[in-house]
Amino acid sequence: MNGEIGTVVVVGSGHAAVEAALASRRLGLETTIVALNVAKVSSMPCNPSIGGPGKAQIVSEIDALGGEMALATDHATTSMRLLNASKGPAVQSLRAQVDKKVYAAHMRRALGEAGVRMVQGMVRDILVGKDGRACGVRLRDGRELRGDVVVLATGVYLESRVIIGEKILDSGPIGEPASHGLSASLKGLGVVMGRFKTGTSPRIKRGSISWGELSIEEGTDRPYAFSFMSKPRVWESEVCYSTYTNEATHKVIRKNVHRSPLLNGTIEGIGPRYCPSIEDKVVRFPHRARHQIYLEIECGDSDDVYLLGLSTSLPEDVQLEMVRSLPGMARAVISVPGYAIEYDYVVPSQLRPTLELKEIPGLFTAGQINGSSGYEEAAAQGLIAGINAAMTVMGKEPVVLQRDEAYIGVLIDDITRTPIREPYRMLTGRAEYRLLLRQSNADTRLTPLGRRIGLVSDERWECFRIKEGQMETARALLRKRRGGEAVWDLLRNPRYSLADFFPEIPELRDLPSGVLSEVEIEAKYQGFIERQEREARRLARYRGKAIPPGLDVARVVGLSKEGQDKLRKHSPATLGRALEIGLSPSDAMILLAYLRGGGER
Amino acid sequence: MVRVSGPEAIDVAGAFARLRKGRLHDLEDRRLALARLVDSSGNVFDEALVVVMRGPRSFTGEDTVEVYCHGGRLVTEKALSEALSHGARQAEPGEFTRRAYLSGRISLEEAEAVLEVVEARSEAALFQAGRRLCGELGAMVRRWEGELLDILAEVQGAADFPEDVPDQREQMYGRLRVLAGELDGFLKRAPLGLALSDGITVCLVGRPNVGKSSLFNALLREDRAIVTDFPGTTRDVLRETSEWDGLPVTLLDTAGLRATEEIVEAIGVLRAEASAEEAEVILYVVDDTEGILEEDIRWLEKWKDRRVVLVVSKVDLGVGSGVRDARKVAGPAGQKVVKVSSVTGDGLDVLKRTVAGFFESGAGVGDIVPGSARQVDCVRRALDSVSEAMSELEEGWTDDVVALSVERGAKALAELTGRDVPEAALDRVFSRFCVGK
Ligand SMILES: Nc1nc2c(ncn2[C@@H]2O[C@H](COP(=O)(O)OP(=O)(O)OP(=O)(O)O)[C@@H](O)[C@H]2O)c(=O)[nH]1
Ligand SMILES: [Mg+2]
Repeated sequence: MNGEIGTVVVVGSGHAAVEAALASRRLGLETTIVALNVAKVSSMPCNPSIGGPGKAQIVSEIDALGGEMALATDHATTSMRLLNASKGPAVQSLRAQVDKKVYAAHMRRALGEAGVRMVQGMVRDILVGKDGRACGVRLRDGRELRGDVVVLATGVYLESRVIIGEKILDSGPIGEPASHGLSASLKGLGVVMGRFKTGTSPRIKRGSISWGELSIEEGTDRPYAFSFMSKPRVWESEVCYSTYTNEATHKVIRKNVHRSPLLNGTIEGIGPRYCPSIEDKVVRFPHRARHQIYLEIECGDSDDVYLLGLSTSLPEDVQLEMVRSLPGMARAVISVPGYAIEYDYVVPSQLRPTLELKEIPGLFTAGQINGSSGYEEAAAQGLIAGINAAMTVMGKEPVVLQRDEAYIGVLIDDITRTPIREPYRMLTGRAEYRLLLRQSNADTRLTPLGRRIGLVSDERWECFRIKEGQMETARALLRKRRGGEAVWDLLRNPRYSLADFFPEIPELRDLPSGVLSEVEIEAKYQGFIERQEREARRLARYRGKAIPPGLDVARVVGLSKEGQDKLRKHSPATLGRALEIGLSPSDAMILLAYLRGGGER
Repeated sequence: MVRVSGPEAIDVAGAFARLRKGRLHDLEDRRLALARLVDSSGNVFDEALVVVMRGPRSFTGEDTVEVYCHGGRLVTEKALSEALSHGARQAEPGEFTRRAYLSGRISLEEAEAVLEVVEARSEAALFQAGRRLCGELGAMVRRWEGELLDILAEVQGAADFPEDVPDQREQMYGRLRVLAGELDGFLKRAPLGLALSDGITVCLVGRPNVGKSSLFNALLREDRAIVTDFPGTTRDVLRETSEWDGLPVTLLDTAGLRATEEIVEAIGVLRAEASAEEAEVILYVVDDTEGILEEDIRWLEKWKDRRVVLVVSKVDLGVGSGVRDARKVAGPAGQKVVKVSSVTGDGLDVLKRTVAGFFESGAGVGDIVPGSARQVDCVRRALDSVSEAMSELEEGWTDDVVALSVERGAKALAELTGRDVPEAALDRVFSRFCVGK
């Protein structure tokens, strides 16, 4: 060990790895990133877009906890929209198109400023000490990197294969090498691995498209931002181009279906249903006359345009024929063909909610290696793994978010406790307490926790306190009775909006619009919010069940040997904590029965 | 998930779980693979994920195969029965929890809540589903659940895939109204049907020494329970069947309710409470010579939404405190009051008729007969949620809160089917809409 507090080795340089490294470094640990290609940081092999339903909430939660993704997004945004604007606060979600080069540059700078060390190399083995704890990694060239904890965030690179029609390449995304050996090393340590696949769309040379033939969707004119610390900006000038497939496109696909590795059995991995290939869509929905395609410009100074909606693994010649059948693309040139990628993942039911492997203490995994998909889902896990890696080294309580506290809690609870059948993507429908978990209140929910963890700067904390004060002022103004009913109560009628009361309460105009809209939601949805809070409390009561500090474990009849050891070693304060340190359900039941009955039989 | 463990686990699982390529025996250790599940006549009934963990490096130390079914509870059960028919022996899911609950050490509510916290969500749902739903009622509940899941898939799908799933708010109200009508019709027939099919369970509860066991004996016309002057005589739950006015009745006598240090009695009290929770009718007994105490009022308050008869016992002694108090307490809460004496037999017929009276409302003997109070309760909660969703639509609330009400309704029915509601709704989104980029 050569760090002051301890050292963390992070394997990978994608969205999960970067958040993990930043978190552990900012918490004071010496942190090293080992990656196949250290020049590539936070890259976006899928489309250059961040947010959307369920995902936007995650990004704002990462922000409130002191992560970097929201800041990078705001910095790199080229256009931003609020989705589900009329469907209610529980599902309203921002989505940004970003310049992927600007995004990556932001992250590279953040890593540099934080002082994260970067090492290039392919990790082949996890080193495990005599005590069974992970203690570092060995690279392919024999070098060893020691660390008190190891975070694996290798994305889709484990034993990956890229498939384009009949062509099968032993590689990672867009020409990057695959990572060989690590998967076998994990299996050797007893870890169960699964295999998933995912796909991408072709990228087209910008100059080869006749833009005039495409339809334009206007951007919106309200100011938006993901981060609490960014000033919301208006994106009125931005536009988005889209088009549709047609009968000719579908004919090309049907004619060549037998050459699709997805449909002819070449691909064994299980793909996500929410991200079907175009050949899948055409085969499964034969009556649909057309499918929408969005054209996404990847970055300001590049030449590539991503055809969102046209994910495919058909051979390159078919892809070209398909693309050229689209309006405006008669002379299109493909710069990178669409491809399917298959990869190994760690079956995530082997993880604790801290993202540490139950059976290998000191080893954390985060991101697509855990069978999730999406930049946002990866970043969230990276942040939590990074925080908990640091907490482990410092001997502090781990950080576990519950399902009623954050989408991040839902994400980790879902993947660690229910078998996942496809790459896991967040959706608002997965969060049963979604009315509590609004994107708009992520700061209120989680900034205090971020501050306790140590990732919220003084400056952010100060701004947060000011906003809290303003919220209080607004609530008090609305609750005050003037003659008849308080405005707070009147707002419960869905027909009224806060703006209707500006003439009556002119002081409101002095408050920022973000504060007003949030307080309006609190008033308007109070009944529904309270109902969800009640439901959430029911389970919290059992999680919070206290375990007396002096508990004599030996007297709890029926506990397994392993359960006794765990309780002795960690002396958890509550049943919830006991579960987080890996007490089995049956031991938990015995313990509960013991605590509840006071019975010693 | 079905887990097969033991020296022949791979043979047993391999007999019904077929890989796309090769044999289960050859599957690499700890590698998830896709398999077809095949029944004894060769029909494929599901696609599942399987993983082989060879001993000693497995949970149990033996060879273990885990089969993750796709199609929900029924398919999982089918996989289980296939495993059993190929020589496996059953260990129940959540077995431990069930044992803890059955031994009376934790309440049903607690067991369920803790399961939700500690076990996989799907396993908690299976435990909740408890008894198996079959026949016409099963089919009906699944149809209602399916309709709610479809509606949920539409609103929630439109929120999660705004570019791909059309907004169908317009048609939602009409569909919910049709469903509400069906649920309501079922519930109108429920009390009678419920009583006729299963019979009803009637539970005697009250503080110690108020005369529960004496009443139990008097109602059964036999000396079944021990009666003494000492409070705390009855410990375990006694159970006898008889017939009142043609109604099959299971009568329960229980330990007197009080806080106690004594372990056997404490367990008895827990069981008394649990029995009352499960019973269709609660006979809450108070002693005419003692009147109604604060504790009694707390219990009556707890059970105020249940079918409760407030029974004043020992009226032959002519003290009258209980009768007087009962007038005050029962008036506003609306419980029925019956005065009885186990010594003279006064009031026993009135009591039986009062109990039968609970079940005489509603239409003729239903075409569909619900199976248990718990099922009726789930349907009732589903109806409440559907009605809430309808008023939210009428009042112009946003889709998010309407979706939450629909989800609550589906979850109430899912307590009977064991389905994972968000996952099932998602399945419907994917099968009905061309979703995703
Ligand atoms: N006079 C009179 N005495 C009764 C009557 N019912 C019960 N008793 C007496 O009250 C005492 C208690 O009766 P039990 O039936 O054992 O009471 P319990 O509620 O079952 O008591 P626990 O089992 O201890 O909870 C006995 O001495 C009975 O003889 C009644 O209707 N009239
Ligand atoms: Mg008794």
